Amino acid sequence: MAKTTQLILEILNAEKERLFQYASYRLHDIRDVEDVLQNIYVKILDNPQRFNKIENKRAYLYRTLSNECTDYLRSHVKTRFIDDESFDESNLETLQPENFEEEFTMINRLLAILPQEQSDTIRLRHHSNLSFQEIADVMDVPLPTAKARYRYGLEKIRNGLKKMNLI
Amino acid sequence: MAMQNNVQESHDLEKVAELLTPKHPRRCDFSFSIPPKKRFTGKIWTISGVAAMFAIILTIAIKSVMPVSAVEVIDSAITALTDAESIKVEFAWRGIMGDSEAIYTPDPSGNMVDGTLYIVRKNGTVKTRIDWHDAEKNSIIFNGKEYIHLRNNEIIDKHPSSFGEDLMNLFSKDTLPKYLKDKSILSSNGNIILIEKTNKGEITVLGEFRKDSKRLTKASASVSLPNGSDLEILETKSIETNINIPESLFIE
Repeated sequence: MAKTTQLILEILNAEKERLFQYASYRLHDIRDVEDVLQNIYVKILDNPQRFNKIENKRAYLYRTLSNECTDYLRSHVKTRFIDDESFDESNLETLQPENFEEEFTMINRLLAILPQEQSDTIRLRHHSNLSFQEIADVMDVPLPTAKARYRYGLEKIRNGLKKMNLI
Repeated sequence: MAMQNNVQESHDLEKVAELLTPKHPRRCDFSFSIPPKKRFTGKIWTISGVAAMFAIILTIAIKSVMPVSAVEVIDSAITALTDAESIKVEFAWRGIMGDSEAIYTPDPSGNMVDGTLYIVRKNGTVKTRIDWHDAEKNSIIFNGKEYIHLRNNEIIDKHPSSFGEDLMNLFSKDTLPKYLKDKSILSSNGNIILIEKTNKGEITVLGEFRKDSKRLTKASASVSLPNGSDLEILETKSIETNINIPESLFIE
């Protein structure tokens, strides 16, 4: 196998678990998750020289994955979480999920009230376990901005839950 | 007082962070394969879902080279389907059980699973139900506003969904995927008209129409495997339109 391909595969496999969890909590359907991950791999292999020239390959991977998930949801979405500003009992059934399905629904319902950049920051932090510096690199923003997006996102969710007396 | 508020706020934010942290993550069995696996990337696969596959098969294009009589039969059959207030299809589908809303997603590596598809259109609302004839008696319902998954008639999952609208858009004659117009072979034997359409040599759909009733009586689809053989992935056993389908099937 070409050395370049081998190196690309090593980088991808090192991040595989975190990329997988991020995509799982965005896309739900495991076949969609695997499709998106494989698509990224194919895209990189189409032009390995270009990938090699990228300084921060890790940031590139997560940025590409986030964009792929967004594009995939836009064209394939079957279930939409209504982007309103609040929760109510009909759309937030449990805060103590007992399996992946319930957890996926709860997390996405909570994140649906946030702007994309705040929800993405939270996903990268909690589903891919990236540090704030790594998140800042992925989103190409200063470190304080990444931290602020995270905090504002949590605060907005907290305020929504407080209104419902759930916290 | 201010210090107490700050402590409380911190505590609340920690609770929120805790909610957003996965406690039931999926196991990652995925691997980046070398070379990348060939995937069926046509729209027929990426849409996913039994109903989407049916929509493509049941709206087979008509080429101008076909005899006028065949055009009339097929056009009439497709109109009957797109105008029908109710449709019931008994079918067999090659798929594997997964996490998708359809329960069984199309996959050449799967076994054939029998199912019954119900579609009802009334007052601008589309309701769909699929009963899988499997050991667990899985059923899925889209009732115009919600997706419901039943297992042996007990509700397993329920959440908002607008899938039914997307489905009926696919049933429209105006939304035929372009690649399905590549090639068609027509044969006519007595009362039967056969249409075969191939997507880039990968997926072949077959439609059987009856001249006397001007109806689509059977549809099937097969894929070409890398070893050159064909594998059937979908077959209808019966197609009925405008029959009585009780509202109770779609649970409100």
